[in-house]
Amino acid sequence: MTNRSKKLCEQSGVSRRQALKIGAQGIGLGILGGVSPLPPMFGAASTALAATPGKILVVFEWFGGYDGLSAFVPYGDDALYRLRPNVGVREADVIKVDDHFGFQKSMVGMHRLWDEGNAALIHGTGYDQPSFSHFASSSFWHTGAPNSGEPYGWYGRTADALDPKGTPNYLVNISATQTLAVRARDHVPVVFQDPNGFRRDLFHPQQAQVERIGTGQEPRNDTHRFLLDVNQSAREASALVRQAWQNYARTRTPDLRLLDLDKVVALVENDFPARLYYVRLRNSLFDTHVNQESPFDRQVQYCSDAVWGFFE
Amino acid sequence: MTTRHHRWAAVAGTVLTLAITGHAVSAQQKDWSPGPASWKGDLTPITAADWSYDRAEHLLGRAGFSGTPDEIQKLADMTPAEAVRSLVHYDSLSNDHLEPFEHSGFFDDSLADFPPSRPAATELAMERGESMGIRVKPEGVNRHMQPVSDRFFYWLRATGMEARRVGYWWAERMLDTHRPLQEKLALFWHGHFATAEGKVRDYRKMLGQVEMFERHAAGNFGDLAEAVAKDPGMLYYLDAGVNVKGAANENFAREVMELFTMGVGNYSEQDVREAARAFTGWNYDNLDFVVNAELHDDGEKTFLGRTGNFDGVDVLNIILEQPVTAEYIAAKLYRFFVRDDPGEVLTSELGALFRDADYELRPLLTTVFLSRDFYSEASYGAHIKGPVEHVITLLNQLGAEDVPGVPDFNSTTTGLGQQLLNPPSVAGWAQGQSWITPALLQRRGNVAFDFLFPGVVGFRDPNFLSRGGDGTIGERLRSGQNFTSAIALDPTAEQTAFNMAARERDELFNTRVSGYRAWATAMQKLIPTPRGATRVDMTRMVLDTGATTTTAAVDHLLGRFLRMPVSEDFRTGLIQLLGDELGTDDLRRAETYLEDPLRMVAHLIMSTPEYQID
Repeated sequence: MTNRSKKLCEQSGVSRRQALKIGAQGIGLGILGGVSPLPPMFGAASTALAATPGKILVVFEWFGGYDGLSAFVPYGDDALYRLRPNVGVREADVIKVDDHFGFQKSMVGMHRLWDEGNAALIHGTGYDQPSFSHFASSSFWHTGAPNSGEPYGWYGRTADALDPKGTPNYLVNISATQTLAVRARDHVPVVFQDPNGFRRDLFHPQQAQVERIGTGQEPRNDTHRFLLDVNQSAREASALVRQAWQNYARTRTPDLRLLDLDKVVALVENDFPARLYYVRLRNSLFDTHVNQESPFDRQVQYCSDAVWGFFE
Repeated sequence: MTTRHHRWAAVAGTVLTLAITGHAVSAQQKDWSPGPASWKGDLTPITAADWSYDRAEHLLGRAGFSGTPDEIQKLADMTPAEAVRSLVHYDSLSNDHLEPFEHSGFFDDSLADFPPSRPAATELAMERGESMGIRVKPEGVNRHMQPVSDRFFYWLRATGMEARRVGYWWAERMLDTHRPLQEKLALFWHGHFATAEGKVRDYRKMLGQVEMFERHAAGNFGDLAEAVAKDPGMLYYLDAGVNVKGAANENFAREVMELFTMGVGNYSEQDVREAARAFTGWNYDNLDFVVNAELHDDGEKTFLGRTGNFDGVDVLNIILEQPVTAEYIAAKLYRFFVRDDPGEVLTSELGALFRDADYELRPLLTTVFLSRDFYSEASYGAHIKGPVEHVITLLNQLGAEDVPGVPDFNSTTTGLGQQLLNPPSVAGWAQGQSWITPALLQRRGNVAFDFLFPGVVGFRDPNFLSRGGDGTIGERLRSGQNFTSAIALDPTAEQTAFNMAARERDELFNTRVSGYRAWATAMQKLIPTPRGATRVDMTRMVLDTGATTTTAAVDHLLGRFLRMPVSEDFRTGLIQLLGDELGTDDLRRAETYLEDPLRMVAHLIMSTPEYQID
């Protein structure tokens, strides 16, 4: 752990093992395994969020075979090069933050945040006997509950804990398909990718009848109930999302689009009621298995720029 | 495209008759008659007394892609055993009317060893003076490597375009086939043994896979698993080329157990390493499976408790001996065809049945489709249609003869979360509730809108390059600009990582020019996809049932498209909308202007939560 992240942990009263990476503006970035109802760090996040009305938490997930040792490189540790003689990121390819750690060279944007005091990091998170399966691994990280069969995501459970009433439009997942991390018992996440497409196409005479879709309908089974709930959520969110997107100025640089952070900015600026946002890298290049180096660099650079741009 | 054969003779008015005689929830709406809750988990076959139009519709929806009322009635007129048999034992039904895929002619032998990346392609050309059958220009000529870069991007574009045509070709088969279960199973296996053209970058290998899945669809699972392990597309997709003696790549060995046969938790990491050794040297040569003996590790391996000099086939056979394999596959089929959670008891029953039948699929499928469990309250209406299933079902219910070109089939299903030949990962599509989000539920209604009211304004053929990006380069080149000014970037563009990367220049070639040329060159060969709309006559469809009032028309459409009844509120609203649009509730009076109002009603029905359910 670096001095800076030590300091942040001390200030926020969470131990390293419990720490959520909380930057100065309230962005959460890392996750750590644990057990239900919420892993300790998520508990800390929800406590912090509950204590600060008006605060919004944005989680950005990078996924694929690119770990912390290649992003925030412990170049001062010989073990890295002993255990990763080929893929260990070399000292020359590191932007150093102290005599032990440094960012991978393409993460200029992240480094800038660090220098401004707006980033904190937790290194070496995980759980005992990690799974080597891509898919089991992903679901463990999304639920925060390895080997448990937990059906709800850690972020969805955070929403349930913060807002047991299940307030509409509380939890947003900007994605073409819903991420397991946001699956909740009491909330129907607002999931969309294209704000302009989040609408029903219709002719004018159909308008009144479109409003009747799903109304007065008794659920016949669990599948039907699920669809009625999603229909309700779509009705409540779509017009607000489109309006926010229309109002959004799109003048920002650098490019936020790769991470869909532009949509988060649009919703936040337009007072969309959500308090929890979850965005995910759309097309990971971290899982190509072969010929990996150059696309990785590019992707790391774009993403890191976008996170910096989001703060700007 | 092939013309769809009218399979069964028309039997008009059947649905309405049933709606009156059946014990329907609403007096006006169709029958909805799941079996009792006690049937859940019961594999006892149903009897003729349990059979009805509604149950036949349930069967055809799951074992196929639903159909018109006439097609459902034909199954309802059989006994349940005959109906299931006609779907499962499909080999006697001729499918000769289906045409083989017609290649555009993009491929030649120089593309057989397509380089893994553009840098690899141009580096090879720098060494040898040529790559992918294309020679570099003489040294000293400006950007003398450009033709090689163009060639690389040409094939990427061409195979992508052709893969979309394969998608169309397959969709047409799903719609036209006399053997709907065969295509439904092929779709299942495509999601199970998931391979993506985006990585394989050779539509021919993907086409070969689809044909393989059709061939083995309801055959023997062991035969299918071996065919997959030797399939060039799969070999490429899971990195067989780098799985060699002394440096085993575990990718295939891990997935074959985790995803294709046993499921996670039933083997050790050591088993993965040992299995990978057994598959070393397996590779492909163009479209053929080959074993490179000198790269194969023929040492002793210990795998799942057995020791021997195993090769890949031995490993697969040992896997098939594990009881968990039969359970894993049977349960996955069950989740696809019946409902999400079979439970432990049913899983072990189905697994035992599958294993006792030596992994023959037909006995398992017959048992499932005939079982009380399949028709029980728990299974009825428990399935959310996947995007491809959704679109083919919609077209079948409308009685469409072809998969229309407008809207584009591939773009449509991709927008709903499923692109044929491009599953998101080796785990395939997640199925079930993951198909639906708030935005996707609305989009499903919009898809129905696009099929019923084709987008004659602003339709974009995905085989054409849009403005912006490489399209801008093309426009500049075609307006006579020289190379340098054509590739110049907008000077006001920000200094972002995104744009900085685009500014990377190479004296030898320009990849954005190649991007434009790739489209143009591929288009010179591409067989075009016909861009007709859904040609159906909803006026005749409704009047031929004998319906004379707006109420009867709405009830016919509700019954035709939905498995479950809708609220009285929604039904009344539809009747009112139709009446308002026609200015009368008399269909005969309105016959000459009935079409669009009927389509509006159909669109609204297809926009409901209930329409997503089968």
